Amino acid sequence: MTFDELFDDLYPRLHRYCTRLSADSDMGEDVAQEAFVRLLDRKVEGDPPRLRAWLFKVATHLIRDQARIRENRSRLLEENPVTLEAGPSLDEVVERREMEGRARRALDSLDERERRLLLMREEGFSYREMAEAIGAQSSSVGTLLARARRRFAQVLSQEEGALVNRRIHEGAS
Amino acid sequence: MKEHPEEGVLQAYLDGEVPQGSNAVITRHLEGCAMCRRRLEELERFAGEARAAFGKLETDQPDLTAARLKVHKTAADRRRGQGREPTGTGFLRRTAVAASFVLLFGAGVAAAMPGSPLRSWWEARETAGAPIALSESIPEGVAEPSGVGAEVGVGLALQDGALSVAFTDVVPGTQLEVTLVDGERASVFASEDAHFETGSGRVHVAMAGVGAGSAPIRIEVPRASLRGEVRVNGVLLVEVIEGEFAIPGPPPMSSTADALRFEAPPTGTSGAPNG
Repeated sequence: MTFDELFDDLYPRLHRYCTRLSADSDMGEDVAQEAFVRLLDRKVEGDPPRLRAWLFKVATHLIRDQARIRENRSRLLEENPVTLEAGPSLDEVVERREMEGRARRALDSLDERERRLLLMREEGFSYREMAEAIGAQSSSVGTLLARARRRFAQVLSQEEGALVNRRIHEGAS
Repeated sequence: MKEHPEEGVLQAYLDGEVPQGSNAVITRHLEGCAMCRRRLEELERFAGEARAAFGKLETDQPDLTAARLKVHKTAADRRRGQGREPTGTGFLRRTAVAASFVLLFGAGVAAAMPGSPLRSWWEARETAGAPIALSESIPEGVAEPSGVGAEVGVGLALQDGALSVAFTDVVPGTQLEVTLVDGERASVFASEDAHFETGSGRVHVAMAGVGAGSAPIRIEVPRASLRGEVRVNGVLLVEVIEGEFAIPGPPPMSSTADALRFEAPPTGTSGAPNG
């Protein structure tokens, strides 16, 4: 497999993973590209699964090393600007932003290891690869993943409950 | 299977991650156990909700061609020495870059003054045939070899906040300590048989197979370092990005926020980034 073939196969997934993990689309793009630059620069060799694991690991380190990540996440959540776009109505935009905000907050409620597990599984990593990435036993990944998904779903449900209550309150007033 | 499978096993079953033999056993158990079927359904629901929620976080589709071209161009620029790894634009970065220029300027002025100790040291260094430069732009007076007991060490200033330390021919298993220190200068200590070559913001230490059983190799990296790296036997062990450690290769034996301890890997360890 050539570098370009590898890039075309993995970049969209790495880009998505980085954007979701960092909660910042600019950082997601920068980090995903930087990981590939380092792959080229350092002439890293290995089969595609190994290179994929290396890329995601480097990208995770890069994201973690950015001291601004927390700031950026807070800024995104606090500002969460609603912009008028051509196409969808204001209601649709607001609805989409609300859903995105709930998902983001549910993801942020998890610790970093749980976030990585959920996002890596979403990108098709096996339990063995995930175990290597987070430094755990393969046999414990199922338990960790179940716990993370349960907590994610619970927070999501609480967020939805809060939204319904807010709408009822707004409707009554 | 008489006992109910643990939640982690059910999750692995749901994700198709249990071995073929165990898979059949769990399937049979589920056929006869309504409670476990409900547990499995609950896990399925959580997984579905997570997947649906991630869909809400969907990002814009990246421009693959533009991104690929940018990656190739950035890598090519770096090979030509025109590009730098992105390390942020914070106050620390600007301060450290400014400090490096001040340091280099000050060192140059001091070295140019007749009778200055720095100038004397530099002249003595050249006549004594001390370390060979890797590059032509050695900042005068910023590298100074010094013996410390059975160790030999060099100190050097960062180059625009950057630092590169490479060891070759280290006996696998030799211990290395990398610590973050205050100040602007990096220091590298190894056994007295080591041969140092210094350049701008970088040092190469040829160990000639010496090291196992001796004192650990020590590398002190200033927190002011914007980007630094330590390679051993061609393997990138540690990166320092804006004063913080990143570990792209083999895991350390022990680690704290300010200190890492490694065992030297064999040359060209498979799967690790080689440079």
